[in-house]
Amino acid sequence: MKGKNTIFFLVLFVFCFYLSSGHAAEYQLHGTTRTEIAYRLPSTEKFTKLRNQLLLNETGTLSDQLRFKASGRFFYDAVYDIFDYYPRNVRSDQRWDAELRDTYVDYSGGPWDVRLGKQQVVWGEAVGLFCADVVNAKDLREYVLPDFDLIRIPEWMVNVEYSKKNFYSQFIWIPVLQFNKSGVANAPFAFPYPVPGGSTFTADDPSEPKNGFKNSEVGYRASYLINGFDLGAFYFHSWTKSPVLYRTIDAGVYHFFPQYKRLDIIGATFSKEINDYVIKGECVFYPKGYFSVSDTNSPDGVVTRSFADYIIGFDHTFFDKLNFNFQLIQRVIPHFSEYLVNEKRVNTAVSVRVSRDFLNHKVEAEFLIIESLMRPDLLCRPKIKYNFTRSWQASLGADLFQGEPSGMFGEFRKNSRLTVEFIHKF
Amino acid sequence: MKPTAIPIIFCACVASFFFTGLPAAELTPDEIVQKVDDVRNPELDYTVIVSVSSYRPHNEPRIVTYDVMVKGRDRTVVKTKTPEMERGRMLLMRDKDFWAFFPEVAKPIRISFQERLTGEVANGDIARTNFSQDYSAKLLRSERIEDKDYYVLELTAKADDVTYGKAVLWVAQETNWPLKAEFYAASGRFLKTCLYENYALLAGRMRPSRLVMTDALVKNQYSVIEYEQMQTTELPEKYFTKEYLKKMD
Repeated sequence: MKGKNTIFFLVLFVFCFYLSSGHAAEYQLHGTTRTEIAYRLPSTEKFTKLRNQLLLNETGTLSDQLRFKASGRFFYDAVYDIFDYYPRNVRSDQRWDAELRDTYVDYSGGPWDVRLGKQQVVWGEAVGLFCADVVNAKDLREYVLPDFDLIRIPEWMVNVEYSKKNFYSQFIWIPVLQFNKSGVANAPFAFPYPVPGGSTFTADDPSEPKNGFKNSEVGYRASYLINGFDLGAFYFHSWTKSPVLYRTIDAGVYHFFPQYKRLDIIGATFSKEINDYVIKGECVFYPKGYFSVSDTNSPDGVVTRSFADYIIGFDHTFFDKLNFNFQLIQRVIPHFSEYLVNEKRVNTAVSVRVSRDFLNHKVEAEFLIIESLMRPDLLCRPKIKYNFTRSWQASLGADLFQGEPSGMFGEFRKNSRLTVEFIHKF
Repeated sequence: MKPTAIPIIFCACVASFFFTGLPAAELTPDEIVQKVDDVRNPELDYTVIVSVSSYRPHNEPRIVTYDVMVKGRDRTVVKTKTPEMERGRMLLMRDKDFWAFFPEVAKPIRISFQERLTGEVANGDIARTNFSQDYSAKLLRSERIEDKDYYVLELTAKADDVTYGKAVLWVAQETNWPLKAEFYAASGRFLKTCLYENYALLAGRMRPSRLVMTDALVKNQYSVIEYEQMQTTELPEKYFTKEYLKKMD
């Protein structure tokens, strides 16, 4: 797969170079270089990332109605060559990568727009959380810590949009399936298999459905702006983006054979400004969700339940300077069973994000905390950014995980880390 | 510039002076403010490059440039060109609803009217430039400044959710060109002064190409807004939707 990506990336680069050298007025080549360093706090394996990353993107106009964008990313992480504490499979997965990212052609005619190619489609109103953001698969090899536009994996799709006054409508068709990328076994952010402590297990590779019309994904979203209320609703006929962990138990040994299953998602979103407070929310309902169970009598270790995730939040700027965001996050499983692994009938969490700038925007400080109200489980992310020129930024931050091992953040409590980044945009 | 364009521009200027120079007695305060809006911005859709330089005591000046598209008097898209670190950030205003687009998040985020775009310049200073829609006008007095007669108008916000609660505006009686404005919070607190300077030919008529907004509360804190390459052009309605922001990335 990496070989294919490298070829894509090289072709893209040559293409961009060709365009920018000959048609400087019509095409624009921009890029970002990032040096990212992560230093793990609670472990002896201190440096977990020494990554250099290059992102290139080319945009251009082909005619009055046609535009294009081509973008790619290459990264190399020296930590896998300097230190020897990661096994071969982790090194192979995360040492370097080259990928084609958002690359598409846009057609615009009257109220219609069509985007063909590899792209991100983002639904939802929430800040810093994926709830209604269900369309694109995610690269979770660094969990939810990178920028969201880098977590989302651009997918090949047909995206048809219609806008008329305050009404907006979107139809998407995804013929090429893409699934979440997770950390491989022993990687810092590998997701654990649902087995009791001390149990031994084996696991097959997930079996992916084949690409084709029958297996393709399709979605529709409509929104309407009325009296300042931005109301939206969507339906997405999809697949589980992470595999469902079916299993058998033989003589006390768990054997997992992960599979991707069809998934229907129905959602609604809203936002409204009231007296300088922005109120926003999103709700996503899954008529048939898949959950692992701890019940050893279950024949395959999986049950289906309908459930809903929703977020309600507000934004406000205090004293003209301090941007504040609060969000309440809940998952409700009406037909709850105590055997559902790491779930509750109602699971509640909150997030708070505060940011402000200093010294005439030279320095930006932000603080994000996401915390469960049901059990000790939190992620805390303070960060300070220094714009030392108009195109260079240095930042110092921390990603602090705390909580029980069964929590969505607590399970990575050994991966709390300090981070340093240097970003250059050109 | 082509030689043939010069007489056309000359005629346009003459015409604009003629139409803005209607007898003062016939204009109500609200009509004067409408004329001021026409001086500040074209009535038709237009694009303009805006540069905002923010100066604060003991800090380096911050200079940001934007590509701005305006449709009618209530829809604006502001796209950051420089500095490079902020390139691609966008602001959409539809009447009194605002969205911001950040490339690193790759989706539009609803924001409040109050959130700042840059420095001492409020979103409304760049994105919302029509006095007549937001304020009711009352003629306070006439003043003579440097041999020219000016109306002094008091503008009172029609609703709570506009940039300023109250403003006092000096307008040249002969041309309806704004000279300066003082902006106040709804509480009456004096917030800032704006000088309308460097009148130049922009989009077919003489308009202020430089605004100096001085903070009334902090000494030596001010912002300079400069306009260039203003062009009238029909802009599709869909450009001014939050969904279209990602297409301008």
